[in-house]
Amino acid sequence: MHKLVGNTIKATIIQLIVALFITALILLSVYLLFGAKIEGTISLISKVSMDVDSEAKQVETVMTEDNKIKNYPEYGTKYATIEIPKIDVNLPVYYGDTLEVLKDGVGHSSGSYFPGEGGSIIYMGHNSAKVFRRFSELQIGNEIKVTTSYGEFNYKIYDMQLIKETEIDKLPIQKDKEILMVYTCYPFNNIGYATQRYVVYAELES
Amino acid sequence: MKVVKTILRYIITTILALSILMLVLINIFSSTIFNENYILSELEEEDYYSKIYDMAEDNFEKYINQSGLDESVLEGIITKEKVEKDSKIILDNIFNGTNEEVDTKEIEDKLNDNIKESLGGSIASSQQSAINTFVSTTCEEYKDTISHTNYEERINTYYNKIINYIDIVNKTLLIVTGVAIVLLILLNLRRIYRITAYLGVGLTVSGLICIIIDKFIASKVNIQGITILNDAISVVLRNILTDVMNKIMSYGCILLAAGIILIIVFALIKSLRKIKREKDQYNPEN
Repeated sequence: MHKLVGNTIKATIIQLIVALFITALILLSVYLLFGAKIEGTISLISKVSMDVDSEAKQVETVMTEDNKIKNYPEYGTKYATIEIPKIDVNLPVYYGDTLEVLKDGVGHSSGSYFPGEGGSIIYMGHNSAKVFRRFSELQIGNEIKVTTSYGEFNYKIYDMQLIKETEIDKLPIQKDKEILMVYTCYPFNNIGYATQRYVVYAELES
Repeated sequence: MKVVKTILRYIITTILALSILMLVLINIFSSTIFNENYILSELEEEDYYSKIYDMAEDNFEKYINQSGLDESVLEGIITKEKVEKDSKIILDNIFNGTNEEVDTKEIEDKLNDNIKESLGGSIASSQQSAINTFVSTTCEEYKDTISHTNYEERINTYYNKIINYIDIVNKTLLIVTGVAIVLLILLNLRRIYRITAYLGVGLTVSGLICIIIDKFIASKVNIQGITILNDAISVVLRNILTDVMNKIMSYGCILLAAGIILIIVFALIKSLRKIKREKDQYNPEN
């Protein structure tokens, strides 16, 4: 009986070793023949595979003591809210200016400064009823409040202008003074593509 | 001659292992990602059509604010039934290699009616061009949301070609497997029990490779993190890939177990024969 078991185990092990050897041979051949292609495909798939936790690990935007922003928000993400009490506006502000962003609230032109940085900030929104349709009611002296994760910023309107969409010099980017420029399409209840912009200029109060 | 025969047997065993492996993988793929009914059931399970319906409505909003029209004009322009019907057209196109267009006439008509109603029944000629642009943009947005890609025609052609090839490859592999088994029988006519060893080794090799493939992919790709085009598609794709991987692992384990059993059976028969032979040698009078 012992001999039977011993011989069976021995023969089984030999065949398993043969199987392992053939497996290794096949895998080695596949690696040598298609290794580069397999690596390429895997890396391509990995590019569309995100770390599930990465979205939760978003770092909060903060401001250092010397008024410098740390951890700028990612493009397309909400980072602030804008309140204009005079026209009952209280909307989220997203970093970016795509149609996707503007569908959900107010966009922040990516070429401009952030609140608190001391330069020009450019915000824009649609002229729809739920966004800036009532812009015509705004007057000099009205307040605009921007609340971010790193602070609250209050601005006072000092000018309003109607410009053509091509007049980008009317939205100057500078870093000497903190100015918030918020614009929308004009006329406010126009149907179709509007070629004019209604801009509200506000300066930082506190 | 004996050495040559043994080498030949193992070469045939390797071919057998590869053809079993390919058969298993091809059958897994043809019963999952290349099977229209399987995809349809996955879509239904994930409530895909409702998600695409919500997505289409959400995408329309991108243009409504810009258009200056009231949001109410979008009400009822699409239904979940239409989304389901059009999604199935796209899927049929992929699996049958056809290029049937998604019909947006219904959306166009409803949208025009809604706009007319919202503007008090009459549209000024100065507004007509802007409204036409809005309507056609909305219809295009709907088509994009349903089909998800601009490479639809190319995908349809390739997918259909792959499905046709799979059938041919499957038949070829069945023939190769059959021929390999027949050759092994012919090479082991004198000791036919040896066939169990070669079959066992073949199954063990294919099982091991299946398990290694599964483990290798799992270590390199985070399937649950795959994100393509939109959430609805990503979730369905993740489920399908997880299912494929689970099937590869299951088949791998089954093949490995079957292979080991056959090897043990061979080893047992071999040992019994050896013991019998030894007994016969010591007791020649028996």
